[in-house]
Amino acid sequence: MKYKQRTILKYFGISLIEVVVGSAILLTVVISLVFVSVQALRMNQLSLDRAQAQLIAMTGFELVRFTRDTSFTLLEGMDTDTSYDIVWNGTDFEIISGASQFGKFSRAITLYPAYRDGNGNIASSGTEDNQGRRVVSSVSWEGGVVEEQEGYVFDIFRD
Amino acid sequence: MQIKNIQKNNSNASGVTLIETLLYMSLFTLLSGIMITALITTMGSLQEIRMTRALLHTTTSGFDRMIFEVQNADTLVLQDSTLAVNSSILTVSRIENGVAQVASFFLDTDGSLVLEQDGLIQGPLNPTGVTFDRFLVRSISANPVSGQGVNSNFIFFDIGMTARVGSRVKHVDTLFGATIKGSY
Repeated sequence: MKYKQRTILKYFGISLIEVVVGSAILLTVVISLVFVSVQALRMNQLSLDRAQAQLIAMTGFELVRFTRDTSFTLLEGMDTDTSYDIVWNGTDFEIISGASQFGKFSRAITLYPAYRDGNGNIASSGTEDNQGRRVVSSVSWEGGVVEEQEGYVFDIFRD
Repeated sequence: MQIKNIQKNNSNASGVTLIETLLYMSLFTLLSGIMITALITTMGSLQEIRMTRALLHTTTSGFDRMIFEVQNADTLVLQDSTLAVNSSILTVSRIENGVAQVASFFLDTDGSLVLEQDGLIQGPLNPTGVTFDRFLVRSISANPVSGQGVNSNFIFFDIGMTARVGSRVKHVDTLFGATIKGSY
């Protein structure tokens, strides 16, 4: 009888240590939940930024095509391996030196020589094709993230 | 004697001291504060994620569709377009298997971006909760140097869109464009 009562009394209620341990576990779970939700938000924001950057980079490449449609000589006047951008000045598009800013995004268009191999196909090295340019339109923003659009334009409209 | 001993034990084991009560209350208050803050932060993040995803969906699906239609268009249908003003209407046409296909992009009365193809409304290009407060489309014509270029149209989109979830609002401005295929 005496032993039974002692046993019951021993396990009655919870001690401070148990409360502290329980609280620590609960806190770990809650902090993990907050961390996961904040990380998910960051990843979503990065996806949105990437999608916007791709649009801006694609626009840069399209503007090079549009400039070619005016005259390929405009592209010939741009130094290779040098940053430019093509921007709307209110009445027309103009080629400017260096990158330009679109909100938090910065776009630079760089032209490189186009090369052809022995079979006349576009290649990374070989004979330089003076009637073409390799175009890289790159968009960078916070944290050094970069999205690029790359392709070739050729002087296909000259008589 | 035995009963007295049990009573002593009872008084020792049951109940809590003032210090213990204070400690428990402090812990409870601290935990409640952390839990409430965490809950508010998590709920806010989830709402922000929903808005970001809605804007992302509009960017990747809606704008990609506009670019696709512009890049594959043969002509800009000027008589069915309203350009260079907010709430512009862009109408482009392409020939597919010998048949002309006309696509129009405009804002409906709810501020959603709508695609109408061959007279049929294809539905909004944005999910519920996203509205457009600026849809400005410009067409810029090239001035080709004689014998060196070609008549070309660059379609330029200046767009402002807003996502809303509950009382939260997220706004995105974007500028992009594409050249009509007929000019290539």
